[in-house]
Amino acid sequence: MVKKGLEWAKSLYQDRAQRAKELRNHGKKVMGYICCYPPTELITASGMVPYRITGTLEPITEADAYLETLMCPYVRACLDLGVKGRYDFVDGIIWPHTCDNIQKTYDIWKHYVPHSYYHYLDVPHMSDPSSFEFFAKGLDVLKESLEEFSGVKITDERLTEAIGLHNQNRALLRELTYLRKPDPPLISGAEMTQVVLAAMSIPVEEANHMLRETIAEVKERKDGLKQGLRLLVYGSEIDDIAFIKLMEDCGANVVIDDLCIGTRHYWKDVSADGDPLVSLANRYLGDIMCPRTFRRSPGSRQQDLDNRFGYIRDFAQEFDVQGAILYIIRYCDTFEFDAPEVKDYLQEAGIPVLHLEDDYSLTSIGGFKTRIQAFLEMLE
Amino acid sequence: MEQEKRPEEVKKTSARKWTESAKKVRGLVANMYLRAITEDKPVAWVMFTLCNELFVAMDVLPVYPENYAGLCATKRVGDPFIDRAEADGYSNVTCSYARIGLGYSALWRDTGEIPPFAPDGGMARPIMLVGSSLVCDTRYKWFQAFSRYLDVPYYAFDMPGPPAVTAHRPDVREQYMKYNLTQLHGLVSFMEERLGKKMDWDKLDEIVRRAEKSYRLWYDAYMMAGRAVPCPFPAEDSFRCFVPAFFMIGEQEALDFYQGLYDEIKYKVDNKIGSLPEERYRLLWGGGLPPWHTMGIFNYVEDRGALFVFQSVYLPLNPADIPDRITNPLERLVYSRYEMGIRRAEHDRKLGLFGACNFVGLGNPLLFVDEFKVDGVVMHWLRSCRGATIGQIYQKRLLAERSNLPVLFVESDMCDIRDYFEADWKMKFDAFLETLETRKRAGA
Ligand code: SF4
Ligand code: SF4
Repeated sequence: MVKKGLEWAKSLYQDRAQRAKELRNHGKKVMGYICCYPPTELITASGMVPYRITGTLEPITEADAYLETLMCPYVRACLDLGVKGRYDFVDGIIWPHTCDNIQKTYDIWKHYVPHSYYHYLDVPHMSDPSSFEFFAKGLDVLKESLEEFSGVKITDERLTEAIGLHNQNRALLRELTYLRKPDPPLISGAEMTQVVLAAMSIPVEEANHMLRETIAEVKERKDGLKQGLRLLVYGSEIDDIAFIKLMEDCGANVVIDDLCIGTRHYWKDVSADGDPLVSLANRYLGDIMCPRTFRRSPGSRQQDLDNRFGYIRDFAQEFDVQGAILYIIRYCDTFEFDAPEVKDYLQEAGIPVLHLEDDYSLTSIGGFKTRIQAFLEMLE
Repeated sequence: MEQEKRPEEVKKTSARKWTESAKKVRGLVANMYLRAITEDKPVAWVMFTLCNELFVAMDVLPVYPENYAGLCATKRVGDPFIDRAEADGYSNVTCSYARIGLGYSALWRDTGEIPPFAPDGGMARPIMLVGSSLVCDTRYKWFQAFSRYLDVPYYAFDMPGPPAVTAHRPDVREQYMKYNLTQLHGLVSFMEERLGKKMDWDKLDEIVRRAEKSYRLWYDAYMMAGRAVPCPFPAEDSFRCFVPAFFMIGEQEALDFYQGLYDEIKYKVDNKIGSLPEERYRLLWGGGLPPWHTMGIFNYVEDRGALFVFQSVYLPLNPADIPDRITNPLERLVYSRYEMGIRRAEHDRKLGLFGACNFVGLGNPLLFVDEFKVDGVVMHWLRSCRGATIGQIYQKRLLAERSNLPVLFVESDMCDIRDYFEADWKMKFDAFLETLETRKRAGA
């Protein structure tokens, strides 16, 4: 039986590569990318399937022979899968310079994980007009290189069409997110993560179809979730439901997130007007709220903080949360540096915060149970 | 006072100095902090950004908190700063330079006074902060975090290194050069605004050219020393002598220093004056910053007949000849950085490495092992620095693909002594030297 909506998402979550492999067997090329920054629109426009590289919470068994343990466990987990051959179905990879951990792993990936195509995308850390110009030029070089690899000319029409499809995709993900607003929410945080990951594993048209089904299904739900404390989770690459599930098993509802496998990926659209490459540069460099991008202070300290973190407070207010959990993956420097300020900022806005730092493994996550319970008790 | 109280520790902490040049560095550093406090000139806190020339030209005294953190570690007074930063929420895996700098600012803000135990009189109050994304993420994020404690305007800028694969394409070259130039212009405008005066471009030109000469001498001196058998300039000295190049470049004193260093090394090389009576094993410090808290460990190794003849970490980039047609000093600066980056990227590419160099060449250790007749390589995993740690295993693997040179990993941190276990290090070094001895015998 063909699975639909949430069931389809769940099955993809459990075996993310199934559809991509199938399509590949039918002659499609699968283009891997890591992190939020490579514009998937360019991949779609070249006729290939964008496929987000992620890790796993299972113990890392092989990557330690290639990467130091004193670095981002998420990147290590990705490489672990890579060297085990679990990404062999991926034809090529786009690797952005987003943070030190990712940047420095590019050569290692290239050396030990076999694909037919590799592209390194420099992403500026600043967000000045010159940075956008630089990035747009980098996207132009990427576009050329994807054309060569795919044999498909990425015309403005094709690109504009792909932008439209991906905007739809983001709009649908936002629509689903808004179904977390009621109390109790209509969809759990763990389910949402499954859906987002599933959508990152199949062609955008199919993902949009899946999302429409999911939205319809969720709207109809009668056996909704239980009421519970409403939480926001802030962090980076949570690509497994274990952590969110832990909080939900403790009786809370994660109703909004600021995560890479979450709103950071879909909250902002690409402008449909003007030069598409410029629009992509503006959206990816300017609108993804990740601490790896430096935003010049607009003036006072308070303005600077509002500019950097105001959107998190707005999320918290809009989704009516009672507390926020900062889940920081150890060795992720850009988040490590921001976390204490995010904590102060949210607390000042009256939102209690639990700041956790973690090695991102199943065992370590389990160890947080007592702290999360204590935090929830405090919120009651 | 401090020295009287803890004689063994102080003795153990620092390494002996082999060259007159290395002996001069401590004075230069002390003066750098002192003048910032005593002279009536604006002070900027700056990350090493490859553009000290601009500060010299604007008559600003730069203070480098990363250097200051290293100083605190060598004096073993970093702990209270680190503790304070951690108490304020900064993880113990964030760069220990940053933790020292942030803890320093926090304590300063609390009391309104420079913390009394701060060495060399402390870091003077800045009127601006300048960070960049060069080399690592900490370099702009840490300075952004300063705003929690210091109400001082901050400018951060990008200077991406050339991408190895496409660096030669004219359009890519233009893309990078143009961006780097615009970003530096941004810095100049920021400084002009803060200082209420314009850049003196003629003066900058003179300073940039002086810096070019200094870079060249630095590079030639280091390479000459690495090649020499016996080696007159071990790694612990070169870990001192990069300081003027990083933090004083453009000043006449830095040029004089590198002229002196060059002359001294040349004299010793010409006269075959080495450091140890016998260099039984020549080692390369191939990755990771040194343990500033315990530089005396180098002597431990030397006492066993091994000498670190080179370190490939604080490395002069191979200087480029800048064409005369480029007369604008900022353009000269950008051109030289890009060209230096290309040389490193080219080398990496020959080794089959393809990433952007971001000015940290993955291929560094491989560059030197043959030419400098090295018997073994030591690399240091730093708990709190991704910039200089990620890639070491890969480098070891690359070395293994080309030779069977032994590689030793030691682990601690550049400043945070809590990550350092001396007995463990000594045991590892002893075992490593035994391996080298066995190999030597087998080869003999
Ligand atoms: S979690 Fe942090 S360190 Fe890891 S890949 Fe993402 S941004 Fe980089
Ligand atoms: S390279 Fe390492 S030690 Fe230097 S600032 Fe970056 S993180 Fe800190």
